[in-house]
Amino acid sequence: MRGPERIVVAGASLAGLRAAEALRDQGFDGELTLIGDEPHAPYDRPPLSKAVLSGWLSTDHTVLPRVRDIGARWLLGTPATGVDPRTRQVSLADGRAVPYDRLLIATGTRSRPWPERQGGALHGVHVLRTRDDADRLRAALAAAPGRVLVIGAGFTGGEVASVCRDLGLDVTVTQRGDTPLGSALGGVIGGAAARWYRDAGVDLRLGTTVRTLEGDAHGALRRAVLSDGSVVEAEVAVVAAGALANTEWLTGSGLAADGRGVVCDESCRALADDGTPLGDVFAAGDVARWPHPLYPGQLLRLDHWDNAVAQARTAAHNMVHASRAPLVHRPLPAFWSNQFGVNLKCVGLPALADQVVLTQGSLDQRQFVAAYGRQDRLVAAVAVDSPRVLDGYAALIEAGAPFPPVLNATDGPDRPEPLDPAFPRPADPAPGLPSVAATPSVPSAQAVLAGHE
Amino acid sequence: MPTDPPPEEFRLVVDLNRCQSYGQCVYAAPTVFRFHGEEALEYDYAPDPRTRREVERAAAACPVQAILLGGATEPAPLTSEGAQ
Repeated sequence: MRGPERIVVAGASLAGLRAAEALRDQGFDGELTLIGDEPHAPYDRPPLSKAVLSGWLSTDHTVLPRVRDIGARWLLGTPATGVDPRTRQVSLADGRAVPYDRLLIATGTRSRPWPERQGGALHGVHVLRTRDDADRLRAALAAAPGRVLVIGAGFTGGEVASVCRDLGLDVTVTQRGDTPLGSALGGVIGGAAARWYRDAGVDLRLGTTVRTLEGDAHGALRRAVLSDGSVVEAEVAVVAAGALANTEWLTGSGLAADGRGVVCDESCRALADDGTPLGDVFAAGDVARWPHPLYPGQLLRLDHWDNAVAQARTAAHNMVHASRAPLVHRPLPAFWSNQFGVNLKCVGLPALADQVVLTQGSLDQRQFVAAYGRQDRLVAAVAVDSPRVLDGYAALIEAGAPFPPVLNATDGPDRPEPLDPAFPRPADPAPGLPSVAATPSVPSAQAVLAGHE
Repeated sequence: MPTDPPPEEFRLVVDLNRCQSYGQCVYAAPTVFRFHGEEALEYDYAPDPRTRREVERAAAACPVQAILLGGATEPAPLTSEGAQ
């Protein structure tokens, strides 16, 4: 049987680029087209909220290396607006149609915007997802605003607030939950993160939301009214309230897709509305939701850098080798963040846990490791300023090791003291996150949507 | 005196999940890599082409092999083909 002759990759960021390279590695020698809504060559997003905002790196220095020649046709600055799986054509915003034999959906996510009726259109209100967002926000911070308001204390919100303090800017952060990072890591570790914020001089308002943003006669942001009635004067606001999947262009295609992502199977084949996998449409990266074999009973979507790379490679393999047994995408989730002078790394899925235990160091010191358990099995670990220990935890998680783990670490506690990890209850969704119809046995599954690099 | 042609630009990326902050790259190519805080590595994806040899040494010296250098020879993609 002959392989595909025309492959279209919709999405020209990390997943799209690495998929295109993997398709050539897998021997695909047909016509390859990459479609991107942004006008830029593929670039990396993690530095945008860190080295770019601080002014150390300009956005043209975030362009990703291309690891091999791919001989592709690049359609940049031209969003895909639709797909017809029956005629196998992707339509573009400029009216063109691009035919395919295989399609990869890698259109990623975008920042959830602030509602216009609550001041979202005011000058000075920012989101941070793209290169252009970062250039605009960097310019706004470089103009030395009197105060910056950050809405949401997740990973992006923390990184932005951290850079603001490094720049000497006053910053207020609002967070709906009781701690920063609560939906991703729970309130125990989030409580330690709250101290990082306050030690850095951030005005952290927990259990607080923004009611409305208000501007002056020229439409420039001047203040925010918070849920407790207090007023914060700020000229710059950064909305860091989660992400929405870029799936509108799939409306009417018959694919199982909504604001939470496009559903695919464990071999990255996209599903139709009725749950049947399509043989010629695949998905990878931030936009994909799939049943991870390690986490039965739910669909995962991971906003993680290494997931984008790994899922792109798996999808590419399965797109080219349709007659072979498909590869299954079952990575151990991993991400990292740098904020307030600490490096935080995570493996596994903390949001699934029913227990957490400190295994190394101390929460009061800015150097510790915590392990997460679910039903007496180790499911995740978080390492703060301890980047060299996680490989060992990852191996234990993959081996299904018992919780609490037996480590014999020299900097471990005398006796492990497991705690309730204090994840937000399902009735209190994290700020900006959609409420997800999760399997009841996994109450905080929506939290895993709030991933990071 | 004949002069050497200008060195070609190159790109790199670091897998920061894999990175364990050993810092060998910071010693090998200090204008390209730096620590922000104790353990947070930052780096330039498109450094001065004259640092290429240093960066290649950094990539070779990385204990966890987290540094990936570009290998493509074709030109970088541009906004093209009838896009505005």
